[in-house]
Amino acid sequence: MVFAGLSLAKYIQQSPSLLRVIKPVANAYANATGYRQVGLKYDDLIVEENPRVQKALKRLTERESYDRAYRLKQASHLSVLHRELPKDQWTPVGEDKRYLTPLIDEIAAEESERAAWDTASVEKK
Amino acid sequence: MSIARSAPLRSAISNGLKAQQARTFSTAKAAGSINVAAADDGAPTSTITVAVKAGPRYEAVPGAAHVLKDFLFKSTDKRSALRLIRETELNGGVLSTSLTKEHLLLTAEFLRGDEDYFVEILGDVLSRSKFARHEFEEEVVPQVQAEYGQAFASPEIIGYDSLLQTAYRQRGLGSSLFASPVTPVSYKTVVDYAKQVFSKNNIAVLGSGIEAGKLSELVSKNFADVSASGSVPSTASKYFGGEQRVAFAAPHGSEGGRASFGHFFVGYEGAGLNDAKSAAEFSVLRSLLGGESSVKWSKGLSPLSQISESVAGAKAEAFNLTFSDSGIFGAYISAPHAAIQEAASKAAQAIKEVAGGIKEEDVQKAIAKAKFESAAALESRSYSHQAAGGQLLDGGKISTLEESFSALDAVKASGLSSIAEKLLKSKPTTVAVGDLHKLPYADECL
Repeated sequence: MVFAGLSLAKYIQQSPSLLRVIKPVANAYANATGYRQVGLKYDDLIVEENPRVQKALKRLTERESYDRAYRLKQASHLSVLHRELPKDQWTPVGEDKRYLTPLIDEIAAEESERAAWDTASVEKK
Repeated sequence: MSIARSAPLRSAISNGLKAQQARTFSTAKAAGSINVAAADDGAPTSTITVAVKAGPRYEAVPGAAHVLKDFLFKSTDKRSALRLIRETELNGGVLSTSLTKEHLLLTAEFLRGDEDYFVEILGDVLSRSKFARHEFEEEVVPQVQAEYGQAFASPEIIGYDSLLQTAYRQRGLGSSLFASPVTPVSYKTVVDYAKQVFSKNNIAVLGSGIEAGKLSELVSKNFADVSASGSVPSTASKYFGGEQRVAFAAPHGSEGGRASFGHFFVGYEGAGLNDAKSAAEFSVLRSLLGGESSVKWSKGLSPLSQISESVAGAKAEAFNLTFSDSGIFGAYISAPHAAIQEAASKAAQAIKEVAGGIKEEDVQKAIAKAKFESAAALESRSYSHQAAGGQLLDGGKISTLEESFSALDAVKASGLSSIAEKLLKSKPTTVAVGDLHKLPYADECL
């Protein structure tokens, strides 16, 4: 994730043995945070009040942004009621996909490419 | 003294001939059956155009061609759109796309010597465009909307667009050049259309200021990944004719100008480029009817320019729109709403009078003017590439200026009369643009 500071995820995913050890811990942690119990996905938690994420949200397909709005509305409703969804309606691990992060990374790459071109120096051959 | 004077003249003539020879296209086939034509005119800049048979005439969904035009020169698998623009700027080049009824033209203009880079770009656009969905929504759609808004602020553009839509009934050549908000074009439609039209047998590459051998070598190298064959549905054009009336109010800021006048278009079935003899006769007939002035302080002597003498504020000019297999010939009249009926009637009368009798002297004048017009148009690279691209894609041979000159020279007064008679036998197409309460109907002017 872009705003969580350092992430070792990439290195852990490269090593199967390390992944085997860490993954159950990660799943337990994700379950403990409680967002799946209200039907959210991990990427729903990304702070959206900044231009980059706003732009990424605009690039979601119509279906994705509709589903996202539904999940957020459902979660805030449950929050008001101080309730969780019945267990069979919790977000399944398989569906807890990163649907927004790739778009944010793409926009970050575009921004850094623009910055690089803006400061490029040209050498005459 | 005569010798001293004639020496530079002779050299100027021979230089002129040399330059003219270099201006004719020499054609070749690049690897994979792509038509390539180049004319090295010795200029310090080069222009390369990829002409694609992908105009609105061939689209299955209205507006697809216009949206595709704006979706090109974006991100490819090799370069992002930003990198493409910045690199082109560093090389001092210009990339542009334009659309005619039948063809989509991708043009790169650059300094001689940068051809490696720009031919690669053109090849990438055809075979490796990413067609990113977010670019479609963030850049292409707003641009299409802006172009539509800009075009439809001009009564002249509305008029010609409606004229062709009416004459050919919104299909084939009658498809509008502009994507209308009434029929939005989906992302998938455009990408499918691009896949359909970008194929080796559906494109032609034209170059000016570059050697033919060099160009076909670069095209073979960089266009290898363009799909081998595609097909565009092509049906012969059928002229229908009819009447169309479009309500139009001059946009804010142009209320005082000609945009606030009434605009009237009258057209008849002309000839397509496949009928070279009639096409030449129609271009002479267009020059004969004229409408524009050749000198600054006179309104001109041609029959249509006489109308601006007799009707205050009126302006009439003849047009000859030619496509590969059909054409429309007629006149465009604009005048204050109160005078438009009189002006339109006079213009229609002028066309009829031409059919009645033409003086040989006027024909000679008109031929000279038509020759100048065709030669002057070919001076511009964009027009010569457009014309040559169309000829390569439709017929397979590029006609030279000498050929079009001899076709024009062969025009006779009797031929003009008979073609004008035939013209008037077709059902007229009329378009009125402006305040419909004040504009005349077709049967009130013709």
